[in-house]
Amino acid sequence: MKEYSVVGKSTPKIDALDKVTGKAIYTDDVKMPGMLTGKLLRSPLPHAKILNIDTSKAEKLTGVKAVITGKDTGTKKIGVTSLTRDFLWDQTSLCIDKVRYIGDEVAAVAAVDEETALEALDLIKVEYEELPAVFDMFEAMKPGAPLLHEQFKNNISNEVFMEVGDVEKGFKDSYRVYENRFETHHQALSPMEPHSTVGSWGGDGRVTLWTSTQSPFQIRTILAYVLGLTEGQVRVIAPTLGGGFGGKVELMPMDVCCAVLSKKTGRPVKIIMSRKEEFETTRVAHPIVMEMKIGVSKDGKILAKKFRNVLDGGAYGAGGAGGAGPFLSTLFLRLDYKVANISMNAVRVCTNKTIAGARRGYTGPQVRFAECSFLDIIAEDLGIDPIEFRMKNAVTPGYTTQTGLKITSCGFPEAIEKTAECIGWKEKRGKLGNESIGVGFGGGGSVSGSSYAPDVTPMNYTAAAMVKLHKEGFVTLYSGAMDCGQGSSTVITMIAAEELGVSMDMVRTVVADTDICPYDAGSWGQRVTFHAGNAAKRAAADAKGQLFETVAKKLEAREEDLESRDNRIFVKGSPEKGMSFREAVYLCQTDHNGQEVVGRGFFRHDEKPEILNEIFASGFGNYCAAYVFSAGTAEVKVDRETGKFEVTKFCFAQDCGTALNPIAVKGQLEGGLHMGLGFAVHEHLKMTNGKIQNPSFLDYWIPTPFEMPVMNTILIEPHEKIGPFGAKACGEGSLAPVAPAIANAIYDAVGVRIKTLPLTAEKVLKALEEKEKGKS
Amino acid sequence: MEKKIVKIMVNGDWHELLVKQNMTLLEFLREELNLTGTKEACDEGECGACTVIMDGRSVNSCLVPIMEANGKEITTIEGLAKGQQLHPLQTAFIENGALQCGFCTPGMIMSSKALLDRNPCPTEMEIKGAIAGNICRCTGYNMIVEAIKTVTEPKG
Ligand code: FES
Ligand code: FES
Repeated sequence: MKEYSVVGKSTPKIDALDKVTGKAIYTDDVKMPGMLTGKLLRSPLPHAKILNIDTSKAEKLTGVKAVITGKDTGTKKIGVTSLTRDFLWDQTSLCIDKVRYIGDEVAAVAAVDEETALEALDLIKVEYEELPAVFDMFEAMKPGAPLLHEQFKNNISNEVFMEVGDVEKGFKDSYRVYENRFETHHQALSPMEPHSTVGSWGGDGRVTLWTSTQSPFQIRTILAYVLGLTEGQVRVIAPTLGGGFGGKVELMPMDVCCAVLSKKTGRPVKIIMSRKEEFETTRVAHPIVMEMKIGVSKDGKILAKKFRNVLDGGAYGAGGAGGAGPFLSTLFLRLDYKVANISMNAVRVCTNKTIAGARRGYTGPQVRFAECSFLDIIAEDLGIDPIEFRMKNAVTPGYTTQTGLKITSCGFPEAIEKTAECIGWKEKRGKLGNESIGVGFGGGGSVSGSSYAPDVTPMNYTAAAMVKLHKEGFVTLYSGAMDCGQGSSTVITMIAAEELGVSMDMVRTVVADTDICPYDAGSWGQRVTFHAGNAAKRAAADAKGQLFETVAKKLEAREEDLESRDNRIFVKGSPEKGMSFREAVYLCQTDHNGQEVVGRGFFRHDEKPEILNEIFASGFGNYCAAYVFSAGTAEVKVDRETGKFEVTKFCFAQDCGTALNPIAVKGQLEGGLHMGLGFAVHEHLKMTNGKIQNPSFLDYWIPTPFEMPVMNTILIEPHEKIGPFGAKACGEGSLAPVAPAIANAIYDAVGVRIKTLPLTAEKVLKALEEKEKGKS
Repeated sequence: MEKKIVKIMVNGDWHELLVKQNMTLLEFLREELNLTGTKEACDEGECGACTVIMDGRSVNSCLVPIMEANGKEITTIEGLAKGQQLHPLQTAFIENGALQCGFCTPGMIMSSKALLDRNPCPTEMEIKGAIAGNICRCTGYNMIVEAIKTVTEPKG
């Protein structure tokens, strides 16, 4: 294989210098002359009619420049799904006639400072008529339950149903059939940077929004639609992003409010979420109840599986990122094992609670907890080692699943074996019970670049890039893809540098400004390295092709014999026959009367746009161009007296294709483990009657360095032919193996099975006591 | 709100300003001096994003009333590098992948600096202890701890 000069080597992030010196500008650091502070008034009730809103007193307060309500922001709905799927849309920017959860946005003010803005909120009088509320999703689906949205019958916002093979026959043919039920809870996303926005309505009728977003182009599309503007009248700029994890993919009410308040006042308006608002009103992971049935042959082949996922969506979000929940919760369950007969159903239910959306790995961590715990239960009953059981059923390279997912490269079996080896599976599994130590496995598949483009470009491509070559030999790369901190801007820079044959320091990268950069669907669904990376590579190749044409003429060589490397373009095999990259750009421009050398590239999954929409609706077909796999093993030590347990070691193996920037891949795995550990054990957003009980860092508890186990990360690098330089995604799948690996390790250590997350000491202790009782 | 004059040394320069008495040190730095490197992530003293060094000790600047900072010496993330010469901790964070989104980074570096200033050869446990009040949502802390280790002086 070709030796790369840039990719494949651990490379510091291109924005690291700004970040360690405090120079990086995040949205809250954006300041403008005359800027006002905005604040939102939120509902104190979980479900109520709005009878009247009186803003007169607030408006009279000195320092208050504008107060707006639903009358000002209008009846158009906000969301992220394609404008053609508006039947899912359920949320207006500010509430019009009803509030649906504690925290729902009712009004907004802009004032000279925060103190005044907060005082003004107190002066707004809202008359409510309380309505019966529903907090439990199974209650919500019953006939006669309070209805949140007229258009969602039985409070079901959307549902997926699909069947392949003959599942009943599969069960009949099975040696044994098992049934089980698992449940997960609310995890808050809690990026360190709260949601932040600055809006400025210019005198020319154009709006500029600086906002903490993972998807500037989607914000532009929906904001333009809501404000009744054309997309060309809206400019979205994403400053440095302080983490997103899925919570910053959609247009938020605060964004629209900033724009409308700015229109009213003629001044820029900034809104920053407080930490409490961040916990209560941004986005959480869907809690899911998963009922599963699996049939197996005597030798451990999975013959049939049937499952039903019920997702708690909260008050809104089916038109937001939440709408993808049912589909994705089934996708992840039919991706990693070879099963001929599958029946599945997933519903998303509305309740009067905070809104669920995309959380890193989007439903993968939930369903993986259920599936991996269940597979361990079955393996034990069959008397097969859990690792062996998985190896028997795992998908392999080139396999097409029953529902049409085409697995190309696949390092799943290798990942399973490597993590088992790393944790010392053979020596430890089932052998350290008397010390209350156990090891457990979790793992599965995920997407390498969600191929669904929510707002549709003319040809449904999902990422585009542009490369401009300067005559001094510098390069500017333009990409619409937003870097959430994972280092995507660094990796696309590396890709462009490698393709052009220049060093990293020659490339400057400009991202996430909708006026300047080409379209990108956004940083979610593990799509940046794969989609934006491919687009960057193609744009670079396009520019390079133009240089080669000129250089070939000059050297009297053939274009296909040229090579570009280390800032030189030369004839392959005879490096002295060539010229510097800089000279080549200059020559190319001179040859074309000064015309700029600009390269263009885009990427889209092969499937036709209509087919992708169809896949999203029905579930059948190849959703992504490639898939990734991750596997993890945990070692835990349990204290039988208290039920407390410690995760002492964790091994991660990730199939990421070629690791373009290994240190960044490792960073994703370690960060994924941290968030996964939080999800599995420590983090639980607790609610009573829709009221969040722990909306602060202190009460919510994100793991500290002391909770982190010893981590081993292993990169599995099968070459992916569709990926840029063989690469695939790696940022999200890493969360999924954590919870089941720990749950399975606890079982191995002390023989108790916890089927609901989070895994707490109380649950373990209670289960231990029940086990004891059962014995006596 | 009554205003008062405060005199505070920030990154080696004295600043004398008339400020609202209920202002926090964090607001003073971000709003009055435009030193936005210090971050606000909770405003409740629970995350460490706003950590600065005050008279040699690391403090959560969102919890420090401005009158308490009066007459004191403050170092923020902007005051670490000498011209283009980075502080060794800054270089170590860059080289060891110790940051992703970077929002926790200024606070994280200031906490580590306060530790190394008083204890140049901390143990791993002491390093973890020094940053336990700084939440990072991105990295899993491992690379941060490793980065700090590279700038500790060997024992003895
Ligand atoms: S902002 Fe000061 S501790 Fe969080
Ligand atoms: S790097 Fe994002 S919070 Fe630490």
